Amino acid sequence: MIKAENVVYEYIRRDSDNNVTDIVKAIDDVSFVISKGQFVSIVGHNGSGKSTLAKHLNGLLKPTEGIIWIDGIDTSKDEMMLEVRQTTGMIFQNPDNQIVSGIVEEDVAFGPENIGIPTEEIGKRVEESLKMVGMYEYREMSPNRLSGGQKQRIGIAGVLAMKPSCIVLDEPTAMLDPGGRKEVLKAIKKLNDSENITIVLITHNMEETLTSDVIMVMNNGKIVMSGTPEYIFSKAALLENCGLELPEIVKIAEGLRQKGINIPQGVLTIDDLTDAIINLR
Amino acid sequence: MLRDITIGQYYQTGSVIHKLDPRVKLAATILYVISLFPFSTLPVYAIATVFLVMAVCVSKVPIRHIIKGLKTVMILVVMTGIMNIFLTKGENVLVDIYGVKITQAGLERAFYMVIRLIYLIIGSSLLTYTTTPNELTDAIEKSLKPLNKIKVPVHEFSIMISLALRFIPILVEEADKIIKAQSSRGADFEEGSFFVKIKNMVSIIVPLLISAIRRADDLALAMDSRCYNGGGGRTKLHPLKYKKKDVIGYVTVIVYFALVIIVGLML
Repeated sequence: MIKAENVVYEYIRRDSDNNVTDIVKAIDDVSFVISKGQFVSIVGHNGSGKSTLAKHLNGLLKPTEGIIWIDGIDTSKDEMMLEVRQTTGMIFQNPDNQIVSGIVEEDVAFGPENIGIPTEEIGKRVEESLKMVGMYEYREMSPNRLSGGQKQRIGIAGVLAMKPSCIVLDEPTAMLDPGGRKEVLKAIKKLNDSENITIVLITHNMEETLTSDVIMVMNNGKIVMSGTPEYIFSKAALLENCGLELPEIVKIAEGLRQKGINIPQGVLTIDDLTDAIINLR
Repeated sequence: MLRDITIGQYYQTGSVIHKLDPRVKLAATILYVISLFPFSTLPVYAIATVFLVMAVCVSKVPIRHIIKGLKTVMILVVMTGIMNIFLTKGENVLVDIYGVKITQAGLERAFYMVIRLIYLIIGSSLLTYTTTPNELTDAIEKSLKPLNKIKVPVHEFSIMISLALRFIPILVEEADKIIKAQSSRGADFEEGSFFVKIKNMVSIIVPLLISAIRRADDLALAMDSRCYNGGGGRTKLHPLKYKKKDVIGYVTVIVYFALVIIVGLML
């Protein structure tokens, strides 16, 4: 479980004489609770503070004010840092820059090696995690020969090998082609469904948030609204104010509704929309 | 261009040598290199030749591949040979062309020098043909571990090497992209004098450097978030452990080395 209480994070800008010229609140009084096994998407345009918030969830950044609890551990305590980072794994945007080894299985083993897991146990964990993301047959290859989507799945396997209860993904698909994007999202969804791992997906692509339990919308460091996808997508005007666009299908449904065609609220996917249109007759 | 270099790239054949502990191979290479220096006599070089041919055969790396690797350094070998032929002074002058003398001593010296260089290159590239960079850094880390006691950051060095090796292909690719991007905007890297060319390289090097720094920053964050906190208390997925064949390997190399010393001193 992740709990944030009145979290504030300030970037301090200094001039060449080290005087403070400007204080920017990247996160401004944010509170929320994410419970075990939830799939939460955090959306917002560039500079809304969503990446900064993500880095707070495994202690890479510490709040200026307020507290973040990860499974009951306060992230500002340095001596608990390794616990926190084992509990919440982090995946970043650029797949190349988070792979440390020239061999897939050794990269997946990097995390467990760091925390001193015995050799046989590492071997088991590496095998399990690679199988979970469907990359076991590539275990002896060099990551350089893999596609972006495959590299990102290796990154996810590397985090899984630490047996986390939560994975935070900071725009994991931003540098991938549509195929790779689908691959990664499918892998995440599977982990959420079958392993009950909490997923926090940071993105600005609204299509990716459709399957989540909760969407949080961020703007200027604040959480503007949060709720189910159905609820969030019914607030088109507010989303637009935050620099976000509705998913394609929701837009089409909305357009049809404005033309006086009776499409029910809460239509999110192509299947929903086809059903709704068939039911019109 | 950078990708054409075959010398020193891992070549998988699954042979016994590939499966040896990398520390054995490292020690063997060092001893072999040392054994080529103290004596310049035919019997010693005969032993060195037999040992090298044996090693190459057992490793199953095709001879063609090894010769292809030699090509890149052939200029160095030829130059060394020529220098030695013409610049060695001696009694027994064989040819004298307008004061440029070729002596018997010069010929002999050139012969041993060229053979020595070629064996050095084949011997050490055999190490990298049969050992992955990761195994090699593991071997170096483990062999140098005693230096930790006198505060030498052995683990940090070895992780730096392996990260550098991991990012070489990525940066090569990136350099390629930058060259194309700059060329498409009219930059010319082919024409002009040597100095103009060097000056033009700045437009490649600066963006490459910035991107490398940015990558390093990302990588540090990623390593941090995966609980990396230095070498203390780390375990390994594939720890280095000596097996029976490694002992045989050590014995073979030591026997070879002793043979060279004995034959060298006696004959």
